[in-house]
Amino acid sequence: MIRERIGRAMLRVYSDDVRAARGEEMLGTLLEAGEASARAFARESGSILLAGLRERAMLVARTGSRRLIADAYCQAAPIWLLFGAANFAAAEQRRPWAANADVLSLIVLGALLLAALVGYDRIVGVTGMSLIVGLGLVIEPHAATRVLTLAILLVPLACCVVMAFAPRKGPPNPRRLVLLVPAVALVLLLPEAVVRGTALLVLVSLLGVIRLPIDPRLAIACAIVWSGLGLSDVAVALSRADASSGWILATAASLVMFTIATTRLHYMQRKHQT
Amino acid sequence: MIDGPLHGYAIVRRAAELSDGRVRLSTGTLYALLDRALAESLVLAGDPYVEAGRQRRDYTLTPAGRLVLAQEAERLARAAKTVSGRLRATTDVAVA
Repeated sequence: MIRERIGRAMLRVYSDDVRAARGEEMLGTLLEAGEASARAFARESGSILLAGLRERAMLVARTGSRRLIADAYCQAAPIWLLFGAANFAAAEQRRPWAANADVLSLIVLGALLLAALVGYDRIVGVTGMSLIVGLGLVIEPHAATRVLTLAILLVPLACCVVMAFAPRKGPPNPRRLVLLVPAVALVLLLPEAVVRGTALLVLVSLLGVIRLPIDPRLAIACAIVWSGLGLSDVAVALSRADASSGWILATAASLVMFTIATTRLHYMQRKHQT
Repeated sequence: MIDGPLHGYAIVRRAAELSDGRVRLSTGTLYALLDRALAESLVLAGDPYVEAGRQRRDYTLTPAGRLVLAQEAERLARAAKTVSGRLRATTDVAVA
Protein backbone atom coordinates (compact mmCIF):
# COMPACT_ATOMS: atom_id res chain seq x y z
CA MET A 1 0.00 0.00 0.00
CA ILE A 2 2.86 2.36 0.86
CA ARG A 3 4.61 1.40 -2.37
CA GLU A 4 1.45 2.11 -4.31
CA ARG A 5 1.27 5.58 -2.74
CA ILE A 6 4.92 6.26 -3.51
CA GLY A 7 4.38 5.03 -7.07
CA ARG A 8 1.38 7.32 -7.51
CA ALA A 9 3.39 10.25 -6.12
CA MET A 10 6.20 9.53 -8.60
CA LEU A 11 3.74 9.35 -11.48
CA ARG A 12 2.61 12.88 -10.71
CA VAL A 13 5.78 14.04 -12.47
CA TYR A 14 4.14 13.06 -15.77
CA SER A 15 1.70 15.38 -17.50
CA ASP A 16 -2.03 14.95 -16.80
CA ASP A 17 -2.57 13.53 -20.30
CA VAL A 18 -0.02 10.74 -19.85
CA ARG A 19 -1.32 9.92 -16.36
CA ALA A 20 -4.90 9.73 -17.60
CA ALA A 21 -3.95 7.56 -20.59
CA ARG A 22 -1.70 5.02 -18.87
CA GLY A 23 -0.99 6.03 -15.27
CA GLU A 24 -2.64 2.91 -13.80
CA GLU A 25 -0.86 0.64 -16.26
CA MET A 26 2.53 2.21 -15.46
CA LEU A 27 1.81 1.90 -11.75
CA GLY A 28 1.07 -1.83 -12.19
CA THR A 29 4.33 -2.36 -14.10
CA LEU A 30 6.29 -0.33 -11.53
CA LEU A 31 4.91 -2.39 -8.63
CA GLU A 32 5.59 -5.70 -10.39
CA ALA A 33 9.08 -4.71 -11.53
CA GLY A 34 9.96 -3.47 -8.06
CA GLU A 35 8.39 -6.18 -5.93
CA ALA A 36 11.63 -8.20 -5.58
CA SER A 37 13.19 -5.83 -3.04
CA ALA A 38 13.11 -2.32 -1.63
CA ARG A 39 16.18 -1.52 -3.71
CA ALA A 40 14.51 -2.69 -6.91
CA PHE A 41 11.45 -0.60 -6.07
CA ALA A 42 13.62 2.46 -5.40
CA ARG A 43 15.41 1.94 -8.72
CA GLU A 44 12.12 1.59 -10.62
CA SER A 45 10.61 4.64 -8.89
CA GLY A 46 13.72 6.65 -9.77
CA SER A 47 13.39 5.61 -13.41
CA ILE A 48 9.74 6.73 -13.43
CA LEU A 49 10.78 10.09 -11.95
CA LEU A 50 13.53 10.66 -14.54
CA ALA A 51 11.37 9.55 -17.45
CA GLY A 52 8.55 11.83 -16.25
CA LEU A 53 10.93 14.80 -16.05
CA ARG A 54 12.20 14.01 -19.55
CA GLU A 55 8.62 13.87 -20.80
CA ARG A 56 7.90 17.29 -19.27
CA ALA A 57 11.06 18.73 -20.84
CA MET A 58 10.00 17.33 -24.21
CA LEU A 59 6.56 18.95 -23.90
CA VAL A 60 8.24 22.30 -23.21
CA ALA A 61 10.67 21.82 -26.13
CA ARG A 62 7.72 21.06 -28.40
CA THR A 63 6.00 24.33 -27.48
CA GLY A 64 6.85 27.27 -29.73
CA SER A 65 9.25 29.96 -28.48
CA ARG A 66 6.59 32.70 -28.70
CA ARG A 67 4.18 30.76 -26.48
CA LEU A 68 6.96 30.03 -23.99
CA ILE A 69 7.95 33.71 -23.78
CA ALA A 70 4.28 34.70 -23.39
CA ASP A 71 3.94 32.10 -20.61
CA ALA A 72 7.03 33.57 -18.93
CA TYR A 73 5.45 37.06 -19.00
CA CYS A 74 2.28 35.58 -17.46
CA GLN A 75 4.38 33.89 -14.76
CA ALA A 76 6.31 37.10 -14.15
CA ALA A 77 3.12 38.92 -13.09
CA PRO A 78 2.47 36.93 -9.86
CA ILE A 79 6.21 37.10 -9.04
CA TRP A 80 6.11 40.86 -9.49
CA LEU A 81 2.94 41.13 -7.39
CA LEU A 82 4.49 38.93 -4.70
CA PHE A 83 7.57 41.14 -4.72
CA GLY A 84 5.38 44.25 -4.45
CA ALA A 85 3.12 42.79 -1.76
CA ALA A 86 6.09 41.70 0.37
CA ASN A 87 7.72 45.14 0.20
CA PHE A 88 4.38 46.89 0.68
CA ALA A 89 3.51 44.75 3.72
CA ALA A 90 6.96 45.36 5.20
CA ALA A 91 6.57 49.13 4.70
CA GLU A 92 3.10 49.09 6.27
CA GLN A 93 4.46 47.06 9.19
CA ARG A 94 6.89 49.84 9.98
CA ARG A 95 4.20 52.48 10.45
CA PRO A 96 1.10 52.38 12.64
CA TRP A 97 -1.95 51.09 10.74
CA ALA A 98 -4.29 53.68 12.16
CA ALA A 99 -2.08 56.51 10.91
CA ASN A 100 -1.78 56.00 7.20
CA ALA A 101 -2.52 52.45 6.18
CA ASP A 102 -3.39 52.07 2.52
CA VAL A 103 -5.79 49.17 3.03
CA LEU A 104 -7.43 49.49 -0.39
CA SER A 105 -4.11 49.20 -2.25
CA LEU A 106 -3.16 46.15 -0.21
CA ILE A 107 -6.52 44.48 -0.93
CA VAL A 108 -6.26 45.17 -4.69
CA LEU A 109 -2.64 43.94 -4.72
CA GLY A 110 -3.61 40.81 -2.78
CA ALA A 111 -6.63 40.05 -4.99
CA LEU A 112 -4.55 40.45 -8.17
CA LEU A 113 -1.83 38.23 -6.71
CA LEU A 114 -4.32 35.45 -5.87
CA ALA A 115 -5.99 35.68 -9.30
CA ALA A 116 -2.61 35.66 -11.10
CA LEU A 117 -1.41 32.67 -9.09
CA VAL A 118 -4.58 30.67 -9.83
CA GLY A 119 -4.32 31.58 -13.53
CA TYR A 120 -7.10 34.07 -14.27
CA ASP A 121 -4.75 35.74 -16.71
CA ARG A 122 -7.23 37.79 -18.74
CA ILE A 123 -8.87 39.27 -15.62
CA VAL A 124 -5.50 40.16 -14.09
CA GLY A 125 -4.21 41.53 -17.40
CA VAL A 126 -7.17 43.80 -18.05
CA THR A 127 -7.41 44.97 -14.41
CA GLY A 128 -3.65 45.54 -14.21
CA MET A 129 -3.59 47.49 -17.48
CA SER A 130 -6.49 49.68 -16.33
CA LEU A 131 -4.83 50.37 -12.97
CA ILE A 132 -1.41 51.11 -14.42
CA VAL A 133 -2.67 53.35 -17.21
CA GLY A 134 -5.38 54.96 -15.09
CA LEU A 135 -3.64 55.49 -11.79
CA GLY A 136 -0.04 55.49 -12.87
CA LEU A 137 -0.04 57.59 -15.98
CA VAL A 138 -3.23 59.62 -16.36
CA ILE A 139 -3.72 60.69 -12.76
CA GLU A 140 0.01 61.32 -12.22
CA PRO A 141 0.05 65.14 -12.28
CA HIS A 142 3.64 66.06 -13.03
CA ALA A 143 5.21 65.43 -16.41
CA ALA A 144 8.66 64.77 -14.88
CA THR A 145 7.41 62.13 -12.47
CA ARG A 146 5.17 60.67 -15.19
CA VAL A 147 8.30 59.55 -17.09
CA LEU A 148 9.66 58.03 -13.90
CA THR A 149 6.34 56.26 -13.26
CA LEU A 150 6.29 54.99 -16.84
CA ALA A 151 9.81 53.54 -16.46
CA ILE A 152 8.84 51.85 -13.19
CA LEU A 153 5.63 50.42 -14.59
CA LEU A 154 6.82 49.52 -18.09
CA VAL A 155 7.59 45.85 -17.43
CA PRO A 156 4.48 45.22 -15.25
CA LEU A 157 2.44 46.86 -18.03
CA ALA A 158 4.03 44.51 -20.59
CA CYS A 159 3.11 41.54 -18.35
CA CYS A 160 -0.50 42.77 -18.14
CA VAL A 161 -0.74 43.26 -21.92
CA VAL A 162 0.54 39.71 -22.56
CA MET A 163 -1.83 38.29 -19.90
CA ALA A 164 -4.79 40.10 -21.47
CA PHE A 165 -4.08 39.18 -25.08
CA ALA A 166 -2.10 35.91 -24.86
CA PRO A 167 -3.12 34.22 -21.58
CA ARG A 168 -1.72 30.85 -20.56
CA LYS A 169 -3.52 27.78 -21.86
CA GLY A 170 -5.15 25.33 -19.50
CA PRO A 171 -7.74 25.74 -16.76
CA PRO A 172 -7.12 27.85 -13.62
CA ASN A 173 -5.43 25.85 -10.87
CA PRO A 174 -6.29 26.89 -7.27
CA ARG A 175 -3.65 24.45 -5.96
CA ARG A 176 -1.01 27.02 -6.93
CA LEU A 177 -2.17 29.09 -3.94
CA VAL A 178 -0.14 26.68 -1.79
CA LEU A 179 2.94 28.53 -3.09
CA LEU A 180 1.90 31.44 -0.89
CA VAL A 181 2.60 29.43 2.29
CA PRO A 182 6.43 29.35 1.97
CA ALA A 183 6.39 32.93 0.62
CA VAL A 184 4.43 34.28 3.61
CA ALA A 185 6.53 32.19 6.01
CA LEU A 186 9.71 33.64 4.54
CA VAL A 187 8.40 37.19 4.77
CA LEU A 188 7.45 36.67 8.42
CA LEU A 189 10.70 34.94 9.37
CA LEU A 190 13.13 37.34 7.71
CA PRO A 191 14.72 40.00 9.91
CA GLU A 192 13.50 43.55 9.30
CA ALA A 193 16.84 44.69 7.91
CA VAL A 194 16.43 42.40 4.89
CA VAL A 195 14.44 43.73 1.91
CA ARG A 196 11.62 41.16 1.87
CA GLY A 197 10.63 41.48 -1.79
CA THR A 198 14.21 41.14 -3.02
CA ALA A 199 14.82 38.12 -0.76
CA LEU A 200 11.69 36.47 -2.20
CA LEU A 201 12.77 37.27 -5.74
CA VAL A 202 16.20 35.75 -5.12
CA LEU A 203 14.52 32.61 -3.79
CA VAL A 204 12.12 32.33 -6.74
CA SER A 205 15.06 32.91 -9.11
CA LEU A 206 16.90 30.01 -7.46
CA LEU A 207 13.81 27.85 -8.02
CA GLY A 208 13.82 29.01 -11.64
CA VAL A 209 17.44 27.89 -12.00
CA ILE A 210 16.61 24.51 -10.38
CA ARG A 211 13.72 24.05 -12.84
CA LEU A 212 15.88 24.96 -15.84
CA PRO A 213 16.58 21.38 -16.98
CA ILE A 214 12.83 20.72 -17.36
CA ASP A 215 11.28 24.12 -17.96
CA PRO A 216 13.11 27.46 -18.44
CA ARG A 217 9.91 29.55 -18.22
CA LEU A 218 10.23 30.39 -14.51
CA ALA A 219 13.85 31.53 -15.02
CA ILE A 220 12.75 33.75 -17.94
CA ALA A 221 9.91 35.12 -15.78
CA CYS A 222 12.42 36.01 -13.05
CA ALA A 223 14.69 37.64 -15.64
CA ILE A 224 11.72 39.77 -16.74
CA VAL A 225 11.08 40.89 -13.15
CA TRP A 226 14.79 41.62 -12.58
CA SER A 227 14.88 43.68 -15.80
CA GLY A 228 11.85 45.67 -14.59
CA LEU A 229 13.57 46.33 -11.27
CA GLY A 230 16.76 47.39 -13.08
CA LEU A 231 14.79 49.77 -15.27
CA SER A 232 12.92 51.34 -12.35
CA ASP A 233 16.17 51.64 -10.33
CA VAL A 234 17.81 53.44 -13.26
CA ALA A 235 14.84 55.81 -13.49
CA VAL A 236 14.90 56.52 -9.75
CA ALA A 237 18.69 57.01 -9.76
CA LEU A 238 18.47 59.44 -12.70
CA SER A 239 15.60 61.40 -11.19
CA ARG A 240 17.41 61.81 -7.88
CA ALA A 241 20.86 62.03 -9.44
CA ASP A 242 22.23 59.69 -6.80
CA ALA A 243 24.69 56.88 -7.43
CA SER A 244 22.60 53.90 -6.34
CA SER A 245 24.13 50.65 -7.56
CA GLY A 246 20.88 48.65 -7.25
CA TRP A 247 20.18 48.89 -10.98
CA ILE A 248 23.55 47.31 -11.79
CA LEU A 249 22.78 44.25 -9.66
CA ALA A 250 19.21 43.93 -10.96
CA THR A 251 20.28 44.34 -14.60
CA ALA A 252 23.16 41.88 -14.15
CA ALA A 253 20.78 39.34 -12.56
CA SER A 254 18.34 39.85 -15.43
CA LEU A 255 21.01 39.38 -18.11
CA VAL A 256 22.46 36.27 -16.45
CA MET A 257 19.03 34.67 -16.06
CA PHE A 258 17.94 35.56 -19.60
CA THR A 259 21.15 34.12 -21.01
CA ILE A 260 21.10 30.81 -19.16
CA ALA A 261 17.34 30.32 -19.64
CA THR A 262 17.33 31.04 -23.38
CA THR A 263 20.49 28.96 -23.90
CA ARG A 264 18.82 26.05 -22.14
CA LEU A 265 15.62 26.55 -24.14
CA HIS A 266 17.50 26.53 -27.46
CA TYR A 267 19.38 23.39 -26.40
CA MET A 268 16.11 21.64 -25.48
CA GLN A 269 14.50 22.63 -28.77
CA ARG A 270 17.54 21.47 -30.80
CA LYS A 271 17.64 18.17 -28.92
CA HIS A 272 13.93 17.63 -29.54
CA GLN A 273 14.34 18.24 -33.27
CA THR A 274 17.14 15.65 -33.63
CA MET B 1 6.98 -8.77 -29.09
CA ILE B 2 8.29 -10.77 -32.09
CA ASP B 3 6.50 -13.87 -30.74
CA GLY B 4 3.24 -12.09 -30.02
CA PRO B 5 1.61 -9.34 -27.95
CA LEU B 6 3.12 -8.63 -24.52
CA HIS B 7 2.14 -6.33 -21.67
CA GLY B 8 4.58 -3.88 -20.06
CA TYR B 9 6.07 -6.08 -17.35
CA ALA B 10 6.14 -9.10 -19.70
CA ILE B 11 8.34 -7.04 -22.07
CA VAL B 12 10.73 -6.29 -19.17
CA ARG B 13 10.88 -10.02 -18.26
CA ARG B 14 11.31 -11.13 -21.88
CA ALA B 15 14.18 -8.68 -22.45
CA ALA B 16 15.91 -10.03 -19.33
CA GLU B 17 15.34 -13.69 -20.37
CA LEU B 18 16.59 -13.22 -23.94
CA SER B 19 19.72 -11.37 -22.80
CA ASP B 20 20.52 -13.72 -19.89
CA GLY B 21 19.81 -10.90 -17.47
CA ARG B 22 22.12 -8.40 -19.15
CA VAL B 23 19.33 -6.10 -20.38
CA ARG B 24 17.33 -4.73 -17.48
CA LEU B 25 14.65 -2.38 -18.80
CA SER B 26 13.43 0.00 -16.11
CA THR B 27 9.76 0.99 -16.04
CA GLY B 28 10.51 4.61 -16.99
CA THR B 29 12.72 3.62 -19.93
CA LEU B 30 10.21 1.00 -21.08
CA TYR B 31 7.34 3.46 -21.38
CA ALA B 32 9.53 6.14 -22.97
CA LEU B 33 10.54 3.59 -25.63
CA LEU B 34 6.97 2.40 -26.08
CA ASP B 35 5.85 6.02 -26.52
CA ARG B 36 8.35 6.53 -29.33
CA ALA B 37 7.47 3.22 -30.95
CA LEU B 38 3.75 4.06 -30.75
CA ALA B 39 4.34 7.53 -32.22
CA GLU B 40 6.21 5.96 -35.15
CA SER B 41 3.51 3.28 -35.56
CA LEU B 42 6.04 0.51 -34.96
CA VAL B 43 3.93 -0.86 -32.11
CA LEU B 44 0.18 -1.01 -31.53
CA ALA B 45 -1.36 -0.67 -28.05
CA GLY B 46 -4.33 -2.87 -27.20
CA ASP B 47 -7.22 -2.00 -24.91
CA PRO B 48 -6.51 -1.92 -21.19
CA TYR B 49 -7.61 -4.89 -19.07
CA VAL B 50 -7.23 -5.94 -15.44
CA GLU B 51 -5.21 -9.03 -14.50
CA ALA B 52 -4.26 -10.01 -10.95
CA GLY B 53 -5.63 -6.67 -9.75
CA ARG B 54 -3.36 -4.68 -12.04
CA GLN B 55 -4.20 -2.77 -15.15
CA ARG B 56 -2.39 -4.02 -18.20
CA ARG B 57 -2.30 -3.36 -21.93
CA ASP B 58 -0.82 -5.59 -24.60
CA TYR B 59 1.57 -4.19 -27.17
CA THR B 60 1.87 -5.74 -30.63
CA LEU B 61 4.58 -5.27 -33.24
CA THR B 62 3.09 -3.80 -36.43
CA PRO B 63 4.26 -4.95 -39.92
CA ALA B 64 6.21 -1.66 -40.14
CA GLY B 65 7.77 -2.39 -36.73
CA ARG B 66 8.72 -5.91 -37.83
CA LEU B 67 10.35 -4.50 -40.97
CA VAL B 68 12.36 -1.91 -39.00
CA LEU B 69 13.40 -4.62 -36.55
CA ALA B 70 14.55 -6.90 -39.39
CA GLN B 71 16.53 -4.07 -40.99
CA GLU B 72 18.14 -3.18 -37.65
CA ALA B 73 19.04 -6.84 -36.98
CA GLU B 74 20.57 -7.06 -40.47
CA ARG B 75 22.56 -3.85 -39.93
CA LEU B 76 23.89 -5.12 -36.59
CA ALA B 77 24.76 -8.50 -38.13
CA ARG B 78 26.65 -6.75 -40.94
CA ALA B 79 28.50 -4.55 -38.44
CA ALA B 80 29.38 -7.60 -36.31
CA LYS B 81 30.59 -9.46 -39.42
CA THR B 82 32.79 -6.52 -40.47
CA VAL B 83 34.32 -6.22 -36.99
CA SER B 84 34.87 -10.00 -36.73
CA GLY B 85 36.47 -10.01 -40.19
CA ARG B 86 38.84 -7.17 -39.28
CA LEU B 87 39.73 -8.85 -36.00
CA ARG B 88 40.53 -12.14 -37.77
CA ALA B 89 42.62 -10.38 -40.42
CA THR B 90 44.67 -8.43 -37.89
CA THR B 91 45.09 -11.53 -35.68
CA ASP B 92 46.47 -13.49 -38.69
CA VAL B 93 48.92 -10.66 -39.44
CA ALA B 94 49.99 -10.49 -35.78
CA VAL B 95 50.52 -14.28 -35.60
CA ALA B 96 52.49 -14.30 -38.90
